[in-house]
Amino acid sequence: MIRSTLALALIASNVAMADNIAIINAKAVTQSAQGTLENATILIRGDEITAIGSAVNIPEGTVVIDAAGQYVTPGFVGTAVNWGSVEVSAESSTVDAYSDESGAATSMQYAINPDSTRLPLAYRFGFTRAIVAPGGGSKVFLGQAAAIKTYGDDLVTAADIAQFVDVEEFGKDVSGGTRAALWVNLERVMADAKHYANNPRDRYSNSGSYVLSLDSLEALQAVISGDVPLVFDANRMSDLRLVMDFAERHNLKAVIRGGAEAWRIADELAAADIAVLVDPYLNLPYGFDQRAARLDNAALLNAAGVTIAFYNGEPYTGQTLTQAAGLAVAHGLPWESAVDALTVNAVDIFGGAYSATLEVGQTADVVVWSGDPLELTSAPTTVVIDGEQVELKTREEELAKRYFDIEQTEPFSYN
Amino acid sequence: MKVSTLFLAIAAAATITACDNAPQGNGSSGDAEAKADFARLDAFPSQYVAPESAPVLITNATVLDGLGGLYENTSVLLSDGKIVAVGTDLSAGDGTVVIDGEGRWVTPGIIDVHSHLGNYPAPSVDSSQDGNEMTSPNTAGVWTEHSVHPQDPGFTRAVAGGVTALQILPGSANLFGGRSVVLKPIIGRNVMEMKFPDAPYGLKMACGENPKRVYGNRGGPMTRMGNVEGYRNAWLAAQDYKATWDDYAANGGDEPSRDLQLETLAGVLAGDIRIHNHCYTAEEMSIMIDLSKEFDYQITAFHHGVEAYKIADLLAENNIAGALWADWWGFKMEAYDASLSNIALMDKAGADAIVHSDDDMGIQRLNHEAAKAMAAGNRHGMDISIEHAWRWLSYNPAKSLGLEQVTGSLEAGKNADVVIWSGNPFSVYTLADQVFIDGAMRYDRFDETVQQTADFEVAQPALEDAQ
Repeated sequence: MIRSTLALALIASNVAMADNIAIINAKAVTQSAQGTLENATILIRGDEITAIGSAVNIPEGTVVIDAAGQYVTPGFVGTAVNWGSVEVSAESSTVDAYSDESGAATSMQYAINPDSTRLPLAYRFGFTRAIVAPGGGSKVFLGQAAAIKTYGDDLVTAADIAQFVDVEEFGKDVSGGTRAALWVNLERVMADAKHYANNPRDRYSNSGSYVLSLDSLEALQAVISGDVPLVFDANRMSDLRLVMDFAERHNLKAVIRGGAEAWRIADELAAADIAVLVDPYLNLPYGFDQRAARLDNAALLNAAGVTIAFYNGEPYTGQTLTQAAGLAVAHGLPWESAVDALTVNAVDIFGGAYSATLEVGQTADVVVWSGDPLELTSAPTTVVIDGEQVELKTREEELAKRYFDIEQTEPFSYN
Repeated sequence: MKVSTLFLAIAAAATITACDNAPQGNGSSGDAEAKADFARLDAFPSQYVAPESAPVLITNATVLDGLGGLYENTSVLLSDGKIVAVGTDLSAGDGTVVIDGEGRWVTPGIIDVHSHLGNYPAPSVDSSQDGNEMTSPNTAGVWTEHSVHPQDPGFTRAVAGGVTALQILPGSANLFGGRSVVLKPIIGRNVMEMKFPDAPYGLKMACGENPKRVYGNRGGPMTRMGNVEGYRNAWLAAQDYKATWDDYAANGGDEPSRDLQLETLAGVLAGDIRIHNHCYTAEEMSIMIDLSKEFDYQITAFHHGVEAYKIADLLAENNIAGALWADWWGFKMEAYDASLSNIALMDKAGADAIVHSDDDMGIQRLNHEAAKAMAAGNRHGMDISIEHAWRWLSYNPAKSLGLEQVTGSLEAGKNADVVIWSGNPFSVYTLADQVFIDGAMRYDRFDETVQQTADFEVAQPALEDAQ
């Protein structure tokens, strides 16, 4: 990895805005029709990619970053993560990841703190974007996700881009203890939401006969219109079939989060065009609803034509997710499909303005890697978000530097 | 993993009653030369039987010896359950199974010093959350082997990840959580059939947030200073107990009455039971070190030790290992100052670093966790090699369990606990192809007849679909 002196100076000062950047000698995984380009140059002006290819003219004054033949990818997208909404999970004063009260109306756009120390561990490992989802609560409907970039002052790029609902153990527990009540309630909610759509005056006059709050019904309008996906927490085969039936009956854009047993009905899910956010680590029967969990779930779903992205409860860093992708590859998923799952599939599933491709005219989120992005010993050497080269500074690395020379006799508090 | 409280407390209390009725171990009964037996290794003795197996010659592989050596195009010979030789000029005798190691890597088996397989088994249902005896801050008298459900499917997954031995620990709710047990991950009909022969016992201690949280509203401790008072009072009582039994062992007289809690603590003071101490922060680990000096016992390892890098010199100086994660952090305040270089910085200071899991997923790929830890250190300009980093996975863990004479490295005479990997085991794409425990092939990725299945998984419609 060789940078020009100008680039180094910019890193040191942490001011790289508004400069044009050229990444040269890239093995560019474009995620577009161009495929993977060897020895490519990617030219970035402002917040856009303005040129990509082997014969790109680099204007004077451009910051040149030599990828030295290494992988260059679009910034990855963390799907259904809590980044930016949680600082320390067990300290409730630092947690905005879910609501015990508001259910479907919960809107994660307001929970994002750009100063969260978790966010640098996302972009440090190549994740420039995320779909931040509500992660719990006490209602069947968990609320609405926000699309964010992981660096900057104003991170939210799209609000309320998906609704989440739990239709397994948790969902049944808060429905009185049985699926037999849960799905009846869900049918009623759908009827209510449709009735509410046609009776907007209910907002001010009639709330008594609806199951959910009017705010929740308001939030569900985008779900029943099919404008945003409804993401179902579900794992066992019979639950997945209930989701498929429900989605078809109400003409919803359904997505599965979990899907431990999805591989068993991969063809049906593919036919119904239902995407799955799959956890590639899951291979144990944590509950009776996950008895068929297996490591090649992602590979089998992908082979059947199901759109997949990766999900992991609380990824500690972005690397937790690239490791998950690598593990899926170790168990049969083609490498290219794993990278799709980290990029364009996330966009297919959740929408949002970010394309997750290296293409002219697209947002310049570009990551230069030290090696294969899915490998455990690889890490980004350069990260560009919205055209801005980001200093790869994390709190954990600064702490390591502080105590690097452990023999020092002066108090470390002066380091 | 979720932990439920009330029901398991009742179940575990019943276990203690059963222990009280158990036959006495080989007490000293007046023998003037005998040492008091606090460890009671004979109470629930190992019934593990190393199987008979044909000699195995793995040829032409890349070999990590677990001590820092990397040897290319090298062979490993196993016979009678032991490693016979590692070299380039080994020949197979009659009846030897020859395995072509071309393109593959061979390492010592991975040893996980921190697991809850069996005491928090899958499925994670309320009836089997048996890892934390949350009824008193001091439950040194419980032995976690009495909670181990041998049919945890997690054991089968651990072997598939190259694990050949593991320590099961009680949870961290209590100041003194109880005894650990070291197992082979081969499912037995009971825990005794899985116990690693002659492995010393450990005692789980816990610092910090967990005991405070569990007992803060239940009579205490509710502060860190309350935690330390609890340790000190317990050790004071243990000193008296030990003196009484030592006197009896030396001079005879009336046999003192036994107390399971004090017996385990006295076993620590006698040097027969090893301290495995859940402790996150630098300041608390430092206090625990001084505590160990006050009462003259050795801390074998700090577990989790998220801030070990801040006192790595102190840990090295006091010969205390750190059983650590590669990248877990942020789940509670005492895990907020984590560094991905924790393991590397421990190693740099000359302390024994261990990659541990505390997790039924992590145990399946501790080699990958080590790779991340190595890479984090190398991003700071360190030059950690794969062959060196493998010490974190087998030799250092074996040493912390007191088993480094019998396993943890590929040396002639040691147990043939060996893994053949599909490639470089620090690659995310690499899988364990074959795993040998005591010379017997216990996992073969390509042969379902050499793969374990837990009873829970038998005749489950969901799993039969897999065929």
